[in-house]
Amino acid sequence: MFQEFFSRSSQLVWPLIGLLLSVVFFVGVLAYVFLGLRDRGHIGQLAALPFETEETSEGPAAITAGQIGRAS
Amino acid sequence: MDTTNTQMKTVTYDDAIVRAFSTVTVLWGVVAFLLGVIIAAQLSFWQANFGVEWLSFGRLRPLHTNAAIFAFVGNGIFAGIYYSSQRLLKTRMANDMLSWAHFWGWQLIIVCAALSLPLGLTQGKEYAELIWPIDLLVVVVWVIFGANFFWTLAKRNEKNLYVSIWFYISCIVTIAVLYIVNNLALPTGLTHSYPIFGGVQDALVQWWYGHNAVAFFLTTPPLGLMYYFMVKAADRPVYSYRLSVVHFWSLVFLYIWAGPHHLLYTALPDWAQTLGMLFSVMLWAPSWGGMLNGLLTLRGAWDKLRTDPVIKFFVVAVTFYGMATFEGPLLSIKSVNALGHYTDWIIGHVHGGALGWNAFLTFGILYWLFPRLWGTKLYSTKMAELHFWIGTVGILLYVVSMWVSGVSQGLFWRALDAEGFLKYPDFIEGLSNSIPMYHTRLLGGVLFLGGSLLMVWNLIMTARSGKPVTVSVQVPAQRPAGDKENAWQLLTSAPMLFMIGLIVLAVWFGAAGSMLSPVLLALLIVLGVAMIISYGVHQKRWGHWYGLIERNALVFTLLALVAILIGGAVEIIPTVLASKDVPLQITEKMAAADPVLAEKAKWVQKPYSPLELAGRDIFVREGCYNCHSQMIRPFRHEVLRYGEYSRLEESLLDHPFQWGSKRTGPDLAREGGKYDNLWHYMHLNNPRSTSPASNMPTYKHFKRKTVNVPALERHLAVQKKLGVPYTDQDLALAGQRYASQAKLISDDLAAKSITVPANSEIIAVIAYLQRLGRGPQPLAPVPVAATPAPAVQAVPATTLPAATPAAVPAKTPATKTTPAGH
Repeated sequence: MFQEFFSRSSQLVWPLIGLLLSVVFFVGVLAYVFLGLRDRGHIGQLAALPFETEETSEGPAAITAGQIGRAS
Repeated sequence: MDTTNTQMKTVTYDDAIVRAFSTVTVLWGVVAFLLGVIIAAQLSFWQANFGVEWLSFGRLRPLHTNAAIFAFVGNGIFAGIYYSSQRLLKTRMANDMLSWAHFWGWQLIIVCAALSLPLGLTQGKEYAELIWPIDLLVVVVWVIFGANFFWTLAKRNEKNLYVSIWFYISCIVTIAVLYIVNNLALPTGLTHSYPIFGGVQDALVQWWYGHNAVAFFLTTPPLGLMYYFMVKAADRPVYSYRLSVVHFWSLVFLYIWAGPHHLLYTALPDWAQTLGMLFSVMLWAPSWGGMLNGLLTLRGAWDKLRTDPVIKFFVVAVTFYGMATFEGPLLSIKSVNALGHYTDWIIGHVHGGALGWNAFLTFGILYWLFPRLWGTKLYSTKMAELHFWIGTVGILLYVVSMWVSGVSQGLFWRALDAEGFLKYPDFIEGLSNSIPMYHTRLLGGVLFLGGSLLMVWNLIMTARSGKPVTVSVQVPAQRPAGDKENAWQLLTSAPMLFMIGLIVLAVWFGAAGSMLSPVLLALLIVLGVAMIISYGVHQKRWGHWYGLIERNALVFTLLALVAILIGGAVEIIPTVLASKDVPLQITEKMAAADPVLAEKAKWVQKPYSPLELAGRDIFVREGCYNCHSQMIRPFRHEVLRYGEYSRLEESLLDHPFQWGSKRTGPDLAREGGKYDNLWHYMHLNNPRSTSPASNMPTYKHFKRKTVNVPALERHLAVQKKLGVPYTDQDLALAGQRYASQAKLISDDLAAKSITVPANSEIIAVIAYLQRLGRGPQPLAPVPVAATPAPAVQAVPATTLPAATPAAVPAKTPATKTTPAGH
């Protein structure tokens, strides 16, 4: 089947290579993430990175999320 | 982070740079939207071009797209990146001077673009119109940005790189690669150049860039911002960190391959089109994974949707991201693309993404940032709510009208009668039907602009009610210790080696013959089993592997770079090689020996004459490609309307290619010879004189302006360096030939009582239009007896081919259609 396919043009190998690359890559990433990356504590820590720091501000007090409304 | 018994130090964030970028985002946003409204008005009412050359649609449309992409979204991205990166990395930006050099450099680029594009200084490639000196400035500023960013990564006080940072890294490295490759050009002067790629190569490189400018400028950085600002606004961690890993790697790997979906059914090799289509369809998965990850982040916080306009903007933005990334793969399916390409459907799709996703996300970020940067509350929540609703209605009017208009156009163009001929042969009839939709689009644009003006007022008042805030954070005095593994150890670790091995074997298996394939398949299975065993034995080490990669910025950046380079290389290198296979000069002997070559010989493009090249430069300068394609697709309805479908060989010498992406006017690939010179003169002077319903601007300035003929020799010389087969004699006689051919056209017009100088631009443009789809045209009067004319008489013989009908491929079978109107 492949021989017949390729006999039409030597360029036809490129889409096949592309597809194989992407399939292997995608399956690899999926398998790794759902089988290998299972340390829930570590993952939770990474997901919480945007909330880790206690900020202090000079000048008017910084406001927190959701605190919006007409000033004055 | 454990800070017990640790000495702490204070890090003060540089939010002044965030304030600066945020402020200009608001300013340039209004400019971009206003330009959009103006060009929308021009499509509704041609009078809105005001008869002023630098206000014409072809020049303002690139200014609008550049302003929207690079000025509005660009500055918004930088504001978000500077704000979030400092907080995620727990450090101040590495160097304030670099930050400000980035800021002022970027604004300088925008001002240069705003001045140069209306003046007609352009490279003639969509979203890459900026001339080469500005391109160099872009590269310098981008390097400054990148250096500052990676330096900040190196001095960070947080070991782990949050998902947002991954998206920023991919943006910085990929845009650098795309921008440099697509803008490679040879200058002819300070403000003009020709791209080094021509024809099909240029088309593929351009859309590899064009599509991925959308991907890596308008998608990955905003996704990074989504993962930070949406999370902060919702006060909830991201729904699934693991899904974000799959989202990131799949997106950066797949996106880069999808560019050819802009070139379906063109002269691009079919395999590249199929590849583009398949990868575009595959993109559906990671895109929707990201969208769902964003929306589900709001779990437990949906009540905020009622009260918080920031969340409203974010939710609609992510929803439009989902819609646009559903519609994109849909339009990439060849049969759907056959209907939608070149129509307003694409405009609707693009604006669903640009207005819905990019603009609304940016608005949400601005509403979130301004109160925090100025230490106050938002001036008016109600005004922000009003902005949200006006903007949403504006987008819907825009997108829906373009869908209706686009689908109607596609159906109108392809409609055949019972005998198989065009049902609507006059192109202009379709345009007339679209005008009500154009009015609706204009209304949508006005609403969107109106909403953004409310935002400007709201944000100005917010800033005025507060004062700039300086934010500090306590971090351990000692930077976190690095991992034991260095970059090399990570790159040669077991998961990496197994992955490389599997990819190499899979590729080899694909390329191997029938004898070797079973062996390679067996090896693949063995390696797969070995990988599973290795994972079972070293589960803990494998589990930490990604954490190590993601903590090592160098390795992470290298892997992201490799992921994007693979797709580009697999598509571009074979296409470059394929078009090199076509000899530019096929002799009779070569053709006799090879029937395939003989067929190609009929289509191989011959160089333009100096006059035609001058006309082409003007065509590019005016941005005619914004409305006219030069690519006839292999469909019966297109062949009936425009002539024989376009071949790869026909535009190999076109630097830049002018295949176009939209047909507000008809295709021009075989325009030559359809009308006489007088028709073109009348049409350019006043399109309504030949096509009463046309919305094309007038080009009266073509009569007034003259061509810089002495400069043409330099233009030809640069083209020669790029591979166009001009000889030294062609260069030396450029001026003489120009005058000779121009005189033919001006004499023809004079015979019809039109007096126009032979060196005026209109003569050059007519010459170019008359050349399209045909072989070389006479450079001097052709003796009446000579049929076909053997060579040019008045000009010494050179390699510029003689005017001969042999170079003109036979037209399509007889039709009962009349020529397409304009």
